[in-house]
Amino acid sequence: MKREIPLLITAITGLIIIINYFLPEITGGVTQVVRTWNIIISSFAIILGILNLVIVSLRKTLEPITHLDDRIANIVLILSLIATIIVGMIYGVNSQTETSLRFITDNRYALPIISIELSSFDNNPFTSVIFYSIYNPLSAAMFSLLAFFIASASYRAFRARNLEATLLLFAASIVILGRVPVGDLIFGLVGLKISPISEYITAVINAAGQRAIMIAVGIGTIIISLKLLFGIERSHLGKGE
Amino acid sequence: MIIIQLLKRITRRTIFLIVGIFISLGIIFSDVEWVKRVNLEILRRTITPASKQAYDFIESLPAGTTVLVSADYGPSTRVEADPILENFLKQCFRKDINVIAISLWPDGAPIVATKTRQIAKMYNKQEDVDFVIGGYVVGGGVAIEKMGVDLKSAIPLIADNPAPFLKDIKTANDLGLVFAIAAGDTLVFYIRILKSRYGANVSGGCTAVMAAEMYPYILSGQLIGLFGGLKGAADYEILVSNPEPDQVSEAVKYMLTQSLIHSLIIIFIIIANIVFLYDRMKIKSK
Repeated sequence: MKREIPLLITAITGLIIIINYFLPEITGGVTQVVRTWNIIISSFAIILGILNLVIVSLRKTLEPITHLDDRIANIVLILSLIATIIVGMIYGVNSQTETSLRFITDNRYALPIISIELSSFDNNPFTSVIFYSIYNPLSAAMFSLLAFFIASASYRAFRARNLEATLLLFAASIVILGRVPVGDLIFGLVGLKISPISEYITAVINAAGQRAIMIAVGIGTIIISLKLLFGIERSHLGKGE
Repeated sequence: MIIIQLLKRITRRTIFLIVGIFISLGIIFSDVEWVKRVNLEILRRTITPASKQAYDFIESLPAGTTVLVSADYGPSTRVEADPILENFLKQCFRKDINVIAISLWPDGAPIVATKTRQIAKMYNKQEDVDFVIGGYVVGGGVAIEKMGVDLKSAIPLIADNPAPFLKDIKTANDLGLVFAIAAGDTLVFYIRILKSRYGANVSGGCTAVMAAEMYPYILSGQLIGLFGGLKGAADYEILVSNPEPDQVSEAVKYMLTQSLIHSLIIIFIIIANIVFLYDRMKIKSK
């Protein structure tokens, strides 16, 4: 019964949602309840995620084989998590303005005194500082590393090895240059415009390929959904008994 | 041959160093007057058709219409997405369009709330009168599905809001437009659910890497135009405010950095292929 009941719940819920697509007047009320449940259950997933993160980090911190750097990183993670939760619970998450920290240097003395000042106070400075002065720049810094990796990857990967690779190389180069003003500036010297060619590649050739992928993915999704409804696909139930 | 040998010695660290130098140069020189003028001049001539289509549709909305803006991105993609959000809000408030601002991403909620309040202040718009903040909406695709049936139950923060324009809004279909700025798959959800099933008008913006995936939706008419990446943001700024070089914001300014890095990538590709073809010819001749 451990497997049959979840399978039955999956099948009934899936059928309700499918029927609702074709007959919304009949199953509208039930579908709304199912959707609300879905939102509530996904909220619980956040708690599970936090618990899992804390357990994994604590285990890594306490393990004797863990390297000192990793241990420090895990402690910082747990402390940041606790601090953010406490600040959020006390002060809430709403802030009125974007607050940022500024370093002020006072040169009146022999040694310059550097103080930290909040550029603008709002109703909620702590949450605002955590979000705008810590999380915001760290997150942006992580993502900006992409520029470095893409430059390095394109140097190693874009080689004219065969006809297909050469075509890809030319198409990519045109789109890369066509999306920025310098492309038209360079090609303008020989009386050409690269941005319309780039737009053609994106809007016509790329769209045709994307459409084919989308249709294939759509058919695949239907098949997986049917397998779930009929209980053939059972991976969502887990491996254990 | 010495050159080829030198080119072969380019390592990942060399590339990182050159990219770092070019990014720094881009940021330093992005505020130079003539650079901004050249950027603006070229950008004005090369407005992407998808950007123009989205702008024209928003421009055609009558005053008093209510739109939903969903800022589904985090701090990592703010450089690309923030200017799209800012210009959308500017266009809406200039045209006296009412705005419901939400985010399907937890870290997008403070961004959309702060930006909406900032831009609203510039146009003397009042919170809970001309615009409302719906905050973080939990549920992703399921929440979007709920918007099609009952908008206020999908966005709990606006359920009891006294804003007069919310009285006539029952479902997403009562909105003039749903505008999603996405760094993930939420724009696709809005198209597949709100447009395809409930018939709501959907437009939006996305990061540059996602723009290619959106073109089939634009061509089928399911997505009314698109502001793709920083280029889309720069297009939008030019369309909304047609700025002079001394008035341009980050979207136009940072096109210099993007120009430099894109050119650098092309140079690296050319170098890599010269070395590759030279090696191949050498092997063949042996």
